[in-house]
Amino acid sequence: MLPIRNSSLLIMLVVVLIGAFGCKSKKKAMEAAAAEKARVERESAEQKRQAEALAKREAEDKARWEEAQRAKENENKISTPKARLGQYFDAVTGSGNVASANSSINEALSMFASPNTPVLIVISEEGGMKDYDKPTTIKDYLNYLKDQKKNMNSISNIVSDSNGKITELELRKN
Amino acid sequence: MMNILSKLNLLLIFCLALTITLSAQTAEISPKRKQAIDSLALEKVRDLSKYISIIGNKKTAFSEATRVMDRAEELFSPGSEMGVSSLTSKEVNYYKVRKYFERLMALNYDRVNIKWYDIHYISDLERQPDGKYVGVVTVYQRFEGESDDGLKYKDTTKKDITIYVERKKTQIQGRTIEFWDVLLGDIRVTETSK
Repeated sequence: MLPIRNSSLLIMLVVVLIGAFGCKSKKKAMEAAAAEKARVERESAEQKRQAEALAKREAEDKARWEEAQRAKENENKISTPKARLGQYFDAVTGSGNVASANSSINEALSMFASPNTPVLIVISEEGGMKDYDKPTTIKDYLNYLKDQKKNMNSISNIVSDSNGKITELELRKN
Repeated sequence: MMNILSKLNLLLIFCLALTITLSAQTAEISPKRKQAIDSLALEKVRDLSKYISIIGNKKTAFSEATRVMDRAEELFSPGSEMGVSSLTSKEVNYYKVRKYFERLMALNYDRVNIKWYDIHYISDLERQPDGKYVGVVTVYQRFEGESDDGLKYKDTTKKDITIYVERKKTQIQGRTIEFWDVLLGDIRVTETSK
């Protein structure tokens, strides 16, 4: 009878021990899983941060490139003879006093081969036939803008020589 | 028979020449082109208005006024005259345009303000047998002169301006350019009021 009782106790002890060890290893496994999860989350967060930083850098680079392109286009626009001349015409027409207008006139004249460069003004065109106002010279035309304070003509054609100086200007009545 | 044939030939050539001449004389321009010429002529009158205002303005430097007088004079056909009236006299005096500008510049006021308004055609530009176009434009001029000593004069005059438009040719850089030459003729005073 005693051996049976002893063996029951032994079995119970084994069961208790197994249970104790089982709980411990389960806890360890859970801790390992949590650590792994934390590591994955950290790595994911780091990857996300890196991706965001890269996207931000790319957006900034793109914005800088676009700004540079715009600046380049504006520079090109301003530097074309037509645009520059148009600006001088506006400056002469809109100048508040004679001295300022004369200064703009002199600057504008530097674009021309001569103050007597012909200026043709098209008043109408039909079937390829142009009707002109009486031809004038650039010097007289600039003074006309100064006196009349109105710029009713747009630049339609510019002829330049090999030095880039304007030798003929055609305007068109708006 | 040969004699009759040659006479017929001559008659045919004469008729052909006459047709060409008549068609050239009556050649009409399209309404669009005509409108552009009408506008051009009105623009010349407006230009004169501004020039007169600059010449009369006492703040205008002598050199500028002289240059503007040259430009204004170029708008007129040679020998054109400008009428000058006054509320104090029924008489209208006529001066060559250059003389008129010089008198205007020398007016004995400290401040002069001249403004033209209601500029319009009273007689449309019509083609004449010689190919020129002639019309009449009316303007109203408001004149105000004031001196520091209190002298003031104001009047409004109605003026009729004869306009001549002619097709001309010129050489530009070796090319023949045809253009419309607009010239102003006499300026007649038709009314003077306060």
